[in-house]
Amino acid sequence: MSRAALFLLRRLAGYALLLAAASSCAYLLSAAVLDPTGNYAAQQPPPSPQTVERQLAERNLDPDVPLGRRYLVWASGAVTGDLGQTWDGRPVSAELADRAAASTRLLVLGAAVGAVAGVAWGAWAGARKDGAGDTAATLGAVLLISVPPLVVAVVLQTLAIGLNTASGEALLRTAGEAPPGSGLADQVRYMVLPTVALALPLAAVVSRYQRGLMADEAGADYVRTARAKGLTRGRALRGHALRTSLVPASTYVAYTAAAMFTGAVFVERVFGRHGVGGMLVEAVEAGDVNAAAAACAFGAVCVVAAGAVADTLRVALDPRVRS
Amino acid sequence: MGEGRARRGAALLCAVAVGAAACSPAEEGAGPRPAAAGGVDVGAADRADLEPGGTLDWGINEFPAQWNPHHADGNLATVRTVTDAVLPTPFEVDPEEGPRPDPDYLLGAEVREAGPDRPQTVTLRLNPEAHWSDGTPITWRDYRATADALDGQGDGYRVRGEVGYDRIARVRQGADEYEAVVEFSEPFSEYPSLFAPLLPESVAGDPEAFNGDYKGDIPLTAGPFEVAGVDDGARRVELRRSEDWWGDPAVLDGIVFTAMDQEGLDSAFLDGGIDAYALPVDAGSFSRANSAGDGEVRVALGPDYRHITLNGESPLLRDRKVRHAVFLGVNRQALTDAALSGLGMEAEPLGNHFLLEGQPGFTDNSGQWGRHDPERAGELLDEAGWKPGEDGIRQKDGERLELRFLVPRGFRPAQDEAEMVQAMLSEAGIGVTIEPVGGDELFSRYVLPGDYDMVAFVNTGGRFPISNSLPQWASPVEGPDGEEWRSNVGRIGSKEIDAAMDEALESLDEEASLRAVNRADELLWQEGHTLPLYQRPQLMGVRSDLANIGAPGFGTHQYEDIGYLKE
Repeated sequence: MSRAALFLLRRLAGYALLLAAASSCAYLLSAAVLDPTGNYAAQQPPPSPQTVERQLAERNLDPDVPLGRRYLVWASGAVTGDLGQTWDGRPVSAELADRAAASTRLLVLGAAVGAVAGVAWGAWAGARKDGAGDTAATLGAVLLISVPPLVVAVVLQTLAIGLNTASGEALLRTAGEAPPGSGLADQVRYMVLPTVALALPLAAVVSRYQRGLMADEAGADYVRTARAKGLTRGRALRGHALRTSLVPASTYVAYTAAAMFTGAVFVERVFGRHGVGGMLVEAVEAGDVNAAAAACAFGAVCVVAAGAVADTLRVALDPRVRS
Repeated sequence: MGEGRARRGAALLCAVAVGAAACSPAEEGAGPRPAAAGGVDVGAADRADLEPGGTLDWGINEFPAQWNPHHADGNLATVRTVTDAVLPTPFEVDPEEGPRPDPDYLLGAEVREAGPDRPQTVTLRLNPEAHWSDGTPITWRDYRATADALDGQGDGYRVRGEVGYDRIARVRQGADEYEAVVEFSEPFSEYPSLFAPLLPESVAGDPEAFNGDYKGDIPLTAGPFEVAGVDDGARRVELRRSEDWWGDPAVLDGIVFTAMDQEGLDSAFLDGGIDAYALPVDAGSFSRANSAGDGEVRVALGPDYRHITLNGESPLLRDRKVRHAVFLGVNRQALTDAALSGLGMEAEPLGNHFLLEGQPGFTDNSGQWGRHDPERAGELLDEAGWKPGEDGIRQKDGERLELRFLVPRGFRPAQDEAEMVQAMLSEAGIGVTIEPVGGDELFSRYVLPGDYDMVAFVNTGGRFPISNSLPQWASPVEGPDGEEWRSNVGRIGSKEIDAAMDEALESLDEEASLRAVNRADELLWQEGHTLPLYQRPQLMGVRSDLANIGAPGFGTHQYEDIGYLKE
């Protein structure tokens, strides 16, 4: 077995442990503080106390059952992939799968476009440190970073509605997903706005990070050596400085993108999507223990996955790890 | 049959025409329309003026897991919005005349009053053409199974606890299988609230089917539409016109319900992604939806109201005089204006706990306790022994009159409302501490156990006034741990109130029944039980060329008549 494979395998074992610990913490915390009984109490007319009791017991949500016992029930299901039921009787595993798929459809394109654009933007500015181009890039980025992503999304929606009104037809859809079975043009109509709304703020942040890395590397000894050996400035920067600076940048992008899966609540809501971020917020509002725990655990999975991606990228980009 | 439908259609049209006249559409792009005080605003049109076909994209703000409206998990407005198109409800509610048999399902209903030696019975003559989507005819057995499932006795049925079914002794066959005779053990005047909707025997007859069959699916139907698919992942329900429907065929080819958050709904309505959606009582959404060039917001007074509940067992509020002082200290008109003026509406505060404006029998019973009169409030507090303190807050035996007003955390309108109340009551020398708590804990940890002084929320009153709210005003029941107030979160009750409500439920004479309702209401005002604020408007954004959909007020949508106007 090669050293690289061993390195990855050791990491995987670590991830599994981390995941078990994180999701257990998520469950215990949710179960300790959340209480779904209010959902029934607020109904008119409310169901009888016996009905509520039986419902809660059946779904392992009864706050009167000791926390340890509820945890054991949950954990014995969780190891087989059964994450219990939501307070209103939906299987949490299926719900999480639906939500994760919706998040993926919403986020992946935006995150990819944002990351690539951000790296390009930052590298371009970093190579021109303190020049006029750098200043312009910095101004643009700072402007985008200082505006909350929610505002970016709403402004884009307003512009799109203006565009639709001006053109007299629905060129861009501002909320919801393309109905099943619709053609490519329809899919694009629905995808443009969320993708741009996610990509812009992400690209701005990544560009600042990448610019600093690039500027440091551009002045490094090995770049000068490369140039002394006869490489043009452009080739030296692209082949050497950019490659080296991508190692920390990819780690940063991977973790930022992972956090979006549970943190993009406002973007989900504004664009009428039902992703994991919304699931977490709704679960907390409804005191829905199993759903909240599952969403938190999914967040942990994302972080772990981001770590794995970052490690893999590091192995691919940095020859020193492999040797 | 055909004649019956035509008559009903004409009556409904008259009823809605009154509402429509009161709120004719404004010219194109004229901004918010003056609000209707009227009962109905659905863009009423004759079926002949509608273009057959088309699909309606209907936005909803939640996606229920359980589509059985009688199940404890199915108690959501959205469940009824969808199932009313596909499940049978034997009685329909006319906004003006009240409930009456729906000829699609009932040819007639006869009530026989209880006598000394015989119980009240309601004989339902069923439409023999009516059948379920699997071909089974709708018979008295479906009524029996539904009544048995919902009476709260059948073990295993997770019912949501509706009033009335516990009063049914049995349902038996009449002359033939198309006649159901409902026998009551105790008289029940609001019998048209029952069987809404009716469930098929195969579902209602088996607890497992009752709890499980309508989870994520609506398998058996009997309405103008049938279910083409329920997609949990995409949060969509698709309905299509039912080809074996025996009534007037649906005008639309289909209806697609898609769930989104409120922000998404507003925006999707503007870009044409959805054609209709219910708006929250919120000025921001209202003006956004109104700005759509080809859309409008239809408005009517809805069947629910907002109120402030006082905890009658709180040490500070145990004295009725203090509760009345709070009543008098609150300027209800100001709270009403604050909530409704952004919607371009004007309304008076509500003066009844059971009946709403526009309903038969509505009387303002607030009397001396509905006014805003801080001076009189001060006198009442003097009488109760609360003397003005140094900082203006009254004191008694070293204790300050400082009330805890709970609001759900992060819900801006409730916070604003509580701050207004705080300012108003300080004039009368009553301190108010606003305490934001988690929305999930508001009822379970605070309101139900009685750990609060004041809280504001919404009551669904409406079509069947007593059935809808009886537990909220009833005396405590004996539970395993002693007295339990259950839904009566105000923790105030009396034998007289119970008796008046019972009389209202038992009296088949409508006038006598309404008199009893009003007597119960007067008693609630005298006890200082819950301060009603205002009746909430029903708002629906729709494309302007859509007819027979919008704000039906106390009535219900006729789904088969919804459609697009001919060009």
